[in-house]
Amino acid sequence: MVLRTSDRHLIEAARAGDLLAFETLARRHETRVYRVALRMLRTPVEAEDATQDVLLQAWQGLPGFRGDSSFPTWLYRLTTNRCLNILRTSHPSNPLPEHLLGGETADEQVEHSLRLEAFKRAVMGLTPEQRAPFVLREFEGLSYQEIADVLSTTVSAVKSRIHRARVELVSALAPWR
Amino acid sequence: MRIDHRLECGTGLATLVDQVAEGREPEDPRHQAACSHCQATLAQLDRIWGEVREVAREEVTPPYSVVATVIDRIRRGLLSLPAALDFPLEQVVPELVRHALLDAERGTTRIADAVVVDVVRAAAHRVPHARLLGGRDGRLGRSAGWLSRDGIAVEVAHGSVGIALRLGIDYGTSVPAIAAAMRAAVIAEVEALTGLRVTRVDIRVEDVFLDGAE
Repeated sequence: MVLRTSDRHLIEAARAGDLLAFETLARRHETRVYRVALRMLRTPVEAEDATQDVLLQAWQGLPGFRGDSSFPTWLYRLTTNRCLNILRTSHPSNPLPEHLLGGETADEQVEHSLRLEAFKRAVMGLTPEQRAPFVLREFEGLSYQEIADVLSTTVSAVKSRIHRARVELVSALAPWR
Repeated sequence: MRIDHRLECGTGLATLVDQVAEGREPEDPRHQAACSHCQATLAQLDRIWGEVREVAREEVTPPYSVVATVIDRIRRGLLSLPAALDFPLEQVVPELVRHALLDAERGTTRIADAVVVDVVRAAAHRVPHARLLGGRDGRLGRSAGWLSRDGIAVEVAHGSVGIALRLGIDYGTSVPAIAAAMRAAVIAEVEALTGLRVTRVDIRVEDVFLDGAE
């Protein structure tokens, strides 16, 4: 078992300017940020840039982080906001190069990996406003309440956006009509 | 397909989607068990949600350079000068390997900072009248992003590298001239061999050799 300093202590130290504490905190949570960015954006490079922006923003925003929400929730909020901004300001690109979506599929059955790629493309086909709650729910496993906190909206709005996202996805992937 | 799409049996697709996605009990279990339309659709949905779960389980790891670059950018904002050779030893974290990252059209290339150190060392050895000061004073190990060894410290970021050197020079030679030659040689070699942009080469002259030898 590895002894871990709690987020709270690291946050306090980082607020006081301790960069090593912040680096520990960033390394602890970067995967969360990167994972959401990767599912929200088009390429790993975009996701890496967004992750850097979010972590820098976290460093700058730490003094204002009051602990009303958990640190992960706060990071999710910074991440989805950043991704939504990127998607709003960038032009929709051509169909996504599927091999750039991340994940190791080299050893898997070809047909299986193709289906998975089709699935990821379908996720990218959702509108950003649907994709954000969908990713937080289905990939990150957040509760509807947590997602409402992250996206600063109501639980019922979250539910309805996720519901629509699911139906969209199903209609994009299912061969029946 | 619309959100209010209904199967031939009259069951709303949305109802079945929620059932599968949320793991709920069927609203009408008797109908569902007997209905071929419902069963076929549920099979499709199960497959799709299998993919949802699979993607959720996929391990994705951001490159090491992501946090390193962030810390680097913060530090550049905090400290006016990179004091690569002055970090207190308690900040040394020897096990971390840092990489510079080059984006290519079909993949990425990562260059460990130790490789950059080797390139710098080779370039520095070819500059006359100057010698790297390693040894007992040349800090070994890592401090907050820098790899420091043999009188060379490098800090890699996404597509670039910062370099600091500790030098001794032969007595009678011009410090500015030697420093300029050293800087030019290091920049040329590192940029040519690694493809990284050298953002700076900070040089500290800390010894002088009276007879041109040790």
